[in-house]
Amino acid sequence: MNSLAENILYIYLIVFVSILFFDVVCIFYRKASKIKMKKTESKIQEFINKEDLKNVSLKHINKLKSKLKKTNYLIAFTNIVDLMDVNQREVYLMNLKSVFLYLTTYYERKEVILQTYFVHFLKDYSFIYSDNNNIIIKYLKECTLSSSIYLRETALKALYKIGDINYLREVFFNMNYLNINHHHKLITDGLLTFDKDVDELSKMLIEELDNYNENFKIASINYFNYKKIECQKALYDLLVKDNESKEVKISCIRYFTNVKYKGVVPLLYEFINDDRNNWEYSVVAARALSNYKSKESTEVLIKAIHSQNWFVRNNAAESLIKITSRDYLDKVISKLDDKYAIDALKYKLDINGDEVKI
Amino acid sequence: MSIEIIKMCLKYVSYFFVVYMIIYSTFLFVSAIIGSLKIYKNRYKDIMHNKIEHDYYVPVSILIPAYNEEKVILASVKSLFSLNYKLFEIIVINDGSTDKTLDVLKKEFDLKRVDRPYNKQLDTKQIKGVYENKFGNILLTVIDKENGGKSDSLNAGINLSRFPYFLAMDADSALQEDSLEQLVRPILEEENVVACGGFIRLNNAVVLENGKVKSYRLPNNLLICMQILEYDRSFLASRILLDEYNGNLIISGAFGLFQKDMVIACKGYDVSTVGEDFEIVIKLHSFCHKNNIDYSIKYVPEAICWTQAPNNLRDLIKQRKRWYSGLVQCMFKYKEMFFNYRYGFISFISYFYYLFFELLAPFIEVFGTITTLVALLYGLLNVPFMIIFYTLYTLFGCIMTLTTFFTRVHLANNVLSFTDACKAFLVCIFEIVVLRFILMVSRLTTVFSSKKKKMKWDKLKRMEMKV
Repeated sequence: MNSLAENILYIYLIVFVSILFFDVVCIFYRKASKIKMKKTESKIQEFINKEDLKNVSLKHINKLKSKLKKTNYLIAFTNIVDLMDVNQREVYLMNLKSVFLYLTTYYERKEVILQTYFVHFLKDYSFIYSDNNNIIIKYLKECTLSSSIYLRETALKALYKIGDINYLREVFFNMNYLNINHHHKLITDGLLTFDKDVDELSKMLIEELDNYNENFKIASINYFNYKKIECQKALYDLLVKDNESKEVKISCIRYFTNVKYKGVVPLLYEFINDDRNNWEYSVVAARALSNYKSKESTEVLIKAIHSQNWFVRNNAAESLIKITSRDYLDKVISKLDDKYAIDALKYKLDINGDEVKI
Repeated sequence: MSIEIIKMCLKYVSYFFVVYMIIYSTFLFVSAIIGSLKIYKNRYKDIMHNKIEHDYYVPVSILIPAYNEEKVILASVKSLFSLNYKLFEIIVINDGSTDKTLDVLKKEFDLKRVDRPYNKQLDTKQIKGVYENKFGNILLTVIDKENGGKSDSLNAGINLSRFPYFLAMDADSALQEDSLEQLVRPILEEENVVACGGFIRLNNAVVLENGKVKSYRLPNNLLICMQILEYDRSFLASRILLDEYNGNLIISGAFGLFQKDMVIACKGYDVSTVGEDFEIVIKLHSFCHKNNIDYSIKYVPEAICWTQAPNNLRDLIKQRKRWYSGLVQCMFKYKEMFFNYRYGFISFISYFYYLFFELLAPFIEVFGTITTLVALLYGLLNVPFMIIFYTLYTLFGCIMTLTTFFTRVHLANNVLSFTDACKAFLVCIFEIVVLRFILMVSRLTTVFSSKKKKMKWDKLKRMEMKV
C-alpha cells in the first residue's frame, strides 16, 4: 500500500515536472514567436511589394494558397493587409478571390477554433466574395448553425456586413427551425450593425415574425424598438395574441414606449389597472405611457403611483414627470396622503428637475 | 493494551492515511492538469478571436460594502471609472463606518443627498441616507446605513440597485479595465448562468495605471509572496476543475457577478454567517436543485480583480480563522448535500472535497501527527520510508505550486524577471512547510475557540492602493 502511494507520487511528480518544463519553454517561445511573427510580416510585406497589385500573378496566387493554410501566416498576412492603403488593398484583394475560395474548402474541414479565426478573417473582406452565392457564402451560412457560439456569431457578423437580406432570411429561418440557441441580445446588436438597406431588412423581419421562436421574436422587436421602425400594427397583433409568450409581449410594450400607436393606449391602461394579476405588464406599460400625453393617461398614472408594486409606482412617477408640468405635480403632491407615492414623485422631481417642463 | 492490538490499529490507520493522501494528491494533480490545459486552450481561443466581442453587454450594478475603508475606498471607486465597459452603476454601502469613509466619498465625488425611494426586497438595517452623483452615464450612489455586517450591506445594495446583474466586490480591491467585460461574457454565451466568479490576485506588488498593469514584481514580504503562490494554486487549479462540472461552491466575495432576481429568490445574503461568499453560492446550488431550475455557475480565470493580502501574520491568521468559521457554518447548514445523489458531482466531488480536505483537514493532520508519534514510541515506524515519503510529498506540493505559478505567468503575459523566478522557487518550499502549518494551527484554534464568532467586520490593516 505504501509503495503504491509512493509510486503514484513519483508519477505525478514526473508529469508536473514536464508541465513545469513546458511552461518555462512556452514563456521563452512566446518571446521568440513575437520576433518570428515580425519576420514573417516583413517577408509578406516584401512578397506583396514585389507584385503588381492590379495584376497579380498566378505564381503569387499559388504561393498564397499554400502559405495561408498556416494559421500564423494567415495572422501575419491579415496584419500586413490591414496596414495597406484602403484603395490599394481593395484592388489587391479583389485579385485574390480564388485564394479565398480555395482556403474556404481547406478551413471548413478544420477544428472549430481555426474555422472561427478564418471566418473572422473573411468577415473583414466581404467585398471580395459577396457578389454572388458562392461557396464562401454557403460556408458562412453553414457556420451559423454551428454548436460553437463564437463561430455562429462571427459568421452572422460577416453576413450582416455583406448585407444581403435573402441570406439573413435563410439563416434566421434555419436557426429557428433547428432551434439554435443564440442570445437575443447578440442578434439585436448584430442587426443594429447592418448598414445596407435597413427598410428591406425590417420588411423581411416583419414578414417572418410569425414564423420565429420567442428568441428571434424578441431580438426582432428590440431591433424595431431601437431603430424606431414603423410596424405598430404587426406588434399590436402580437400583443393581443392569446398564446404569445410574456417576454415577447413585454418587448412589444417597450416598443410602444418609443414608437407611438394610439390604438394600443386602451390596452396599456388595462395593463396598468391590472397590476395585481399582471404586474410585469403593468410595470412596462406605466413606462410606455410617457409616450402618450393626455388627460386620461395622467389620471391612470396618478392612480398607478399608489400601486402596491414598487416598480409600477416608480415607472408611473417617471412617466408623470415626462407628460405633466412641475406645477401640476406639486399640486398633485400636496393633495396626496400616500407616503410611498409622494416619495416616488418627489425623488423623480429632484433628479429630473431640469428636464421637467415648468 | 497489547502491542499486537496497537500494531493492528496502526496498520489500519496507515491504510486510511495512504488512501487519504492518494485521493487528495490525485485531486490536486487532476485539477492542476485540467487547469493548465484549460488556460492554454482559453489563451489560444483568445488569440484566434474565439470570443464574444461586443460594445454593449448587460448592465451591471457594482456593489462595494465598506466599513472603515477611508484609506482605500477612493482608489477602489476610481479604478472602476477606468473600466472598459459601457453600462454600469456603482453603489458603495457605508456600513456605519466610524472613520471618514463617507466624508472622503462625499468630498471627492461631490455627492448630493437624495430621498431615493427603493424597493425593500431584502430586510436590512436602517438606511440613514442615500447620496448620489452622475459621471457621464455612470451613476455613483453611496448608501449610508447602520452597521449590520457585510451581508447586510450587500442586501441593502441589492435593494437600491437598478440593473438585473450585480457585481459584489471588496473595498480594498481594484478591477483591471477588461475584468467586467470578461466576467459578463458567459451570460451572453449561455442563458442559464446565474453567477460568475473571477480570478483574485494580490495587489500588494502591482501598480495599475488606468486599469492596466504597469508593473508587477514579487514583493519582498515573504508572507505576501507565499499567499501569491497559494492564490495562484487555488484559482488556477481546483476552481477550474470544479467549474468543468458546474461544481464551484465558492465565488470570492472580492469579485463575483450574480443574477439579482435569483439572489432575491434565495432571500439574499445570509446575515448570520461569516462566510457570505461561500454561503450565497452553495445556497444558489441548493435553491436551483430543489426547484429544478436549469442553471450554471461559471468561473472565468481571465477576469482579474486585484485585492490586498494581509501583510502580517496576525492579520493573516485573523482572515483565515474567519474563512474557516464561514466554511464550518456553511458545511453544516447545507449538510443535505453530503452524499446526496440529487446533487450529483456537487455532492460527491465538491462537497466531499470541502468536507474532507478543507474542513476536516486540520483534525486529520493532527491525528496523523499523534499516530506518527505513537508509532515512533512503540518502535513501529519505518523512519527512512517516512522521511522519503514526506520529502516526496513536499516536493509534489512545491512542484504543483510552481506549475500553477508559471502557468499564470504565461496566461497573464507577465514579464517574469530572473530574480522573481528564483524567489518563486524558494518561497514555494516555505509555503508548503511554514504557511501550511500556520494555517492548520489557526484553523484548529478557531474550532477550539470558546468565543462564538460574531457577525461583524474583521478589519485587517489597510495599505493605500497604487492605482
